[in-house]
Amino acid sequence: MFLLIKKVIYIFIFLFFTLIFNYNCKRNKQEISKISDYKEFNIQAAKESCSKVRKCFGYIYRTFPENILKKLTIEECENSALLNIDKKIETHTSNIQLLARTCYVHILNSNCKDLPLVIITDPNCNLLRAEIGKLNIEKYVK
Amino acid sequence: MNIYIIIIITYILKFIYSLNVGLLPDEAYYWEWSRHLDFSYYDQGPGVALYIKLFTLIFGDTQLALRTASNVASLVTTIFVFKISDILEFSKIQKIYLFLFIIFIPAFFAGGFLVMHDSPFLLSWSGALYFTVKYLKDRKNFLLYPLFLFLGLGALSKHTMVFYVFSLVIWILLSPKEFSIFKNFHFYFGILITFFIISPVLYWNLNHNWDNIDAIANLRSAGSINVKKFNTGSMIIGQIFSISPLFYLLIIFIFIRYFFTEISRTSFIHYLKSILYIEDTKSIILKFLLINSIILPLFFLVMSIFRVIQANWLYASYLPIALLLIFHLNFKNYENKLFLEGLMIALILDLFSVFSIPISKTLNLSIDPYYILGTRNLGFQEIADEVSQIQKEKYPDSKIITNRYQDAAILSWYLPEKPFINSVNILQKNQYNYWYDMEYGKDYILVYIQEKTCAKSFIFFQPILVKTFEKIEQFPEKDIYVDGYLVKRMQIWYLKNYQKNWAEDISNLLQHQMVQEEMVVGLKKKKETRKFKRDKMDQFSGIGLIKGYLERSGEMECSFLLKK
Repeated sequence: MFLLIKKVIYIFIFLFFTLIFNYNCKRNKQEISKISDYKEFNIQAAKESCSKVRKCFGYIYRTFPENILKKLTIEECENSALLNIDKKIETHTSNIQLLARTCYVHILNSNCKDLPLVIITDPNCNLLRAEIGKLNIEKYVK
Repeated sequence: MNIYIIIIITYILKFIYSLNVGLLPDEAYYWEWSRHLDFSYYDQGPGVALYIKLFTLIFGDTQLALRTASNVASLVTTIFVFKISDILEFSKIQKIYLFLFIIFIPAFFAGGFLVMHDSPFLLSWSGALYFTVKYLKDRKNFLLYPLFLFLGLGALSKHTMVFYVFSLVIWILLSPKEFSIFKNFHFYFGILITFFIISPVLYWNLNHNWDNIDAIANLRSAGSINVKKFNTGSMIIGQIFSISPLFYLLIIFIFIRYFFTEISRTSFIHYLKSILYIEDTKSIILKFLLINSIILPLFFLVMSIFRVIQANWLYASYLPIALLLIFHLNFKNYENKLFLEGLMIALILDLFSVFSIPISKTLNLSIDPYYILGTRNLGFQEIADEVSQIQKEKYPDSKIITNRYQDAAILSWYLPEKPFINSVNILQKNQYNYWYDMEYGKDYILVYIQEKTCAKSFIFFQPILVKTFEKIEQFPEKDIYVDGYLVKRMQIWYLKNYQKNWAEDISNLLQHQMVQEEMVVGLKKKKETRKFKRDKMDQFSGIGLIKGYLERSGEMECSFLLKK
C-alpha cells in the first residue's frame, strides 16, 4: 500500500513539472501572436529575434574576440533593429501585416536546428519578402 | 631482482626510444603554454605548463626536456601504483603481473611517450591514491597533507580531478565509521591547502568571465567536437583499444564475478550493510579503490549517451583498476590464461604503435598513411623549412600565422629559433584567443596543415580572409612525403595588408543583417533586391568555396583503414 502511494505521488510530481514546462513553452509562443498592436508586435519580434540569434548562434559568438564581443550586446541588436521603426512600418498594408505576423511567429517558434531552413523556405516569409520587395520597387518608381 | 629496479630500467629504455619520437601538435600547444606562464588557461589549469617549464628551465626548449618530462611523469605514476601494491601486500607474481599491465597497456605504453596535461594529472591522481591508501592503513594525520597537495596539483592539470574528490565523498558517505574525519582539523587544513593551490585557476576565471566553464561546455579537449549524439559505442571501442580487448573483457568478467561471489554469500541487503561497516583495513582500502575505479567510467558512460568522449579521459581510472584486477585475479584458472593472452594483444598493439612504419612496409599493408601511427608526427619539419624559405626569399617583411592552434604550436616548435606563431582562430576558441592580436597594416603568410591526408582539406576561412585583407594570394596545395608516405598536406596564402578583424563581418551578419533583413523581414533596412545580394554572396563565398574544395586532393570522406 505504502509503495503504491509513493508511486502515485511520484507520478503526480512528474505530471506537475511536465505541465509547468509545457505551459512555459506555450506561453512564449502565445505571447507574441497575441499582441494586437502591429508596432508593438514588431518591437517584440525584433527583441525576440535578437535573443534567438544569440541563443542559436552562441557557438559562433563565443569565438569572437573579446573587444568585438563586448559591443555585441542584445540591447545593441534591439536598438539597431528598431531604429526608425515608425518609418519602416508605415507603408505596410494589411496583407503585409498578416504575412509578417505568421512569418515571424514561425521563425521565432522554430528550433535552432531548423532556424536557417525556416527563414529560407517558410512560404509566408517568402510571400512577405515578395510583398516588401514590391513596396520598395513602387517607392523607387515613384 | 627488485621490481623497482626493473621499473627504472624499463623507463630508461622507454626514455631513450622516446628521444626519437617527434612532437605532436597538441604537445607543442602545451609547450607553448609553458612559454606563456599564466594563472590558468582557457582549456585547463596551469599544471601542465608549470610541469613542462620545470624541464625546459633545465634542458631548454628541446626534445630532451619534453621527453624527460613525459617519462618522469609516467615513472613516478608507476612507482606510486607499486607503493600501493606494497601496502596491499602483493606477492611477487602479482607484482610482475601488475608491472606487465601498467607498462604494456597501449594507453600507458604509447601515451607515456607524450607530454600532455594527462602527464602531471595521472601523476597527481596516483599520488593522491597512494596517500589515501597510506592514510587508510596508518591513520596518521600528516598523510592528509600530501593527499590534499596532490588533489590540488591534479586539479591544476585537469578539471577531471574533481572526480577524485567525488570518489572520496562517496566513500566517506558509504563508511559511517569514517565520519569522524569531519572532527579532524588536519582534514580542514588539507582542504585549505587544496584551495590555495587551485586559487590561481579561480583568479583567472574571475578575470576571464569563467571561460574554463565555456571550454568544458564546448569540449575544447575533444577538439570542440561537440556532437550531441549517442557516442557510447565509440567510447567503448576507444577503451577496448586503450587497454587491449582481452584485458577489457577480463576486467568486466572479474568485476561481475566479484559481485556475484560476494552477493551469493549472503543476501543483497546484508551485502550492502557489510559494505557500510567494513572493519578490516585491507577491505577498507579495496572498497575505496573500487569506488575510485568506477567513478570515471560510470560518469563518462552516461555522458557518452549525448556527448563525444575521448579515450584518455578515463585513463586515471586504469590505476585503481590495475590494482583491483591483479588483486582479484585467479592465477590458477582460465583468468590467468586470459590475462596472458590479453598481454599478447597489448604487446602487438604496442609494437604497432612503436614500429608502425617498418611493420606496414614489411607486410606491405594497404593502409592509408594517416592510420599508420608513426606518420602522425612526421612532415612538420619539412613544412616549417618550406615556409621559412618562402618567407625569407619572397616576403621577408611578413609574419607567419596559421588558423589552427595545432599548426601554430607545431610551427613554433619546428621553425628556426622557435618564434611565437599566432593563430587567427577564425570561428575557433582556444588559448590563442588570449594571446597577441594581429597588427593592422601588416602582411602575413598563412599556413594550413592537413594532417588527415586521406581527406580533402576544407578551407572554410578563405572567403573570410578576402574580406579581412587588402589582397590575398593563394599558393597551390602541396603534398609532403616522408619515407615514401604521404604524411601531410600543406597550403600557404600570402595575405597583404591586414585591414579588419575577421569577426567584424560575421558579427554584423548575425547581429544586424540576419535580424533586420531575414528574421524580421518587415523591418528590412536596405532596399537592394535579393538578386543583387545573391550575386554578392556568390562572389564572396559560395561558388569559390565549393570550387576550391572540389579541386583539392584527397577523398570526400576517408575510407576507414583500407586504401582505395
